[in-house]
Amino acid sequence: MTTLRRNPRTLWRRISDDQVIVFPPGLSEPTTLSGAAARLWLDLDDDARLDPAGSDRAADASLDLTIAALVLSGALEELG
Amino acid sequence: MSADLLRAISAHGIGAGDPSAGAALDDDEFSDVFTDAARHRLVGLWLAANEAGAAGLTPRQRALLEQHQSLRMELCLHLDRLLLELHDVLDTAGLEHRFLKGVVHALRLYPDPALRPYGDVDLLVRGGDIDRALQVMGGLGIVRPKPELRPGFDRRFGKGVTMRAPARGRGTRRHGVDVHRTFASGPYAMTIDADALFDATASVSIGGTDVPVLGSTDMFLHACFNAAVSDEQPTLISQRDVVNAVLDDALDWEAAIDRAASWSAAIVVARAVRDAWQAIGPAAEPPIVSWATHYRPSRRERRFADSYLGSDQRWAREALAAVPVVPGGVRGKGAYLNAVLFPTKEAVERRKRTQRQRVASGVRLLARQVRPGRRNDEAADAPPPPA
Repeated sequence: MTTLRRNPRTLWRRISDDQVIVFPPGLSEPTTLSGAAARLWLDLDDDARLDPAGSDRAADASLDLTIAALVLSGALEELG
Repeated sequence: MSADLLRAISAHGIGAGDPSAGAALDDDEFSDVFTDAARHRLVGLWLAANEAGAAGLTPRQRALLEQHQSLRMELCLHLDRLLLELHDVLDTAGLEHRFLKGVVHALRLYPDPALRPYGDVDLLVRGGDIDRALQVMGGLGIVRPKPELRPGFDRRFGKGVTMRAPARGRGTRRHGVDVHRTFASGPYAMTIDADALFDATASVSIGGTDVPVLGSTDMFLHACFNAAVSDEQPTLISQRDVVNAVLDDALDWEAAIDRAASWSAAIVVARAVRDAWQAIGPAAEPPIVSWATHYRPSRRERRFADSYLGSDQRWAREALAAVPVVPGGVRGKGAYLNAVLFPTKEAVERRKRTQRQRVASGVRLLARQVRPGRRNDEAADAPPPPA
């Protein structure tokens, strides 16, 4: 089990509960989180909130590891 | 139908409710409303209304709106990144600045910034710093497409300078960066105490960085100027900015009116608030709405504010109205008139009008002003008849 939180430097906008556009440092273009990944992002709430079931949620959301590493802070090694 | 629905969308979350807003639209009706909603930057509010069960979009219509909204939000995120780079270079150079409109209104005036799209970055610097600020921005590849009318005009008399940043993202359009010295051109460029806009400060967090913005009073006043004197026909989102700023508990509206009056601009607040309430129709009517509806401006205020109405010879009308309040005595007025009537050859070449057209336009307008029986605009600000 690990914890996740939003990377505060990631710029983002909610389009719907199933679609969030994120623009983390390190990417030259914004990218879209869809479905479960979008819901995970929205559930994380503000920057400081920790999600004790973070790794399971991220894995369930099929969050691309490269994007996950950029948009989220926290121990993500368990995702691999 | 289109106008009623557009009004209902613009009032989402604050309106009295419009039963027609929830009705399903056929493709032609949807297409008409979509065109207008996009022009007024209301697509985010339309999607929010649909989520709240108040818009009745079909799945296909919703998908089209989300596609449009995604592209707009991608642009906004690119602009936010540009804003952070601007903040960094200005801060490093020790240049005081405040960010305006756009993302600032989105973050401070709306529960979700996706409800308030924007298309450029606006910032305020002190007049004395404007040349250096433009120079510093050059390091980010930001250039000035149109030269200054005459050396020193921007620093002393102008509203600001429109710059262009290199295109980012998928689009090829260069991004606009408006570097303001003050809130408006024309007479208000002279009457607004531009240095005092730096007296109060607040901040918003963008990408984890706190950037400086105007205090609540000046942010509200800027929203009023933006809605009432910046564009010939304000967008509904600009008017929603005014409504949301009024409904913000942080606003001391009486202090705001006093400040505007000290700039001979209470009429701008009155027109912005009155027109926004008429256009959007919020359910709440705070005291400033009654004040705005019954406000009687002085002749001087009306002359100033009317110089911004319409597009015909607007620059000349603004300039003429500004002359009596140009600072610096006779020499200052001479310098101002020299710049607006006789810009440098380089400045003329990059603008639409030739020098002869500028002078002719100014002279025609002057002749019309001194001719008896000219148009009387007093009715525009007359209070309504008693009920």
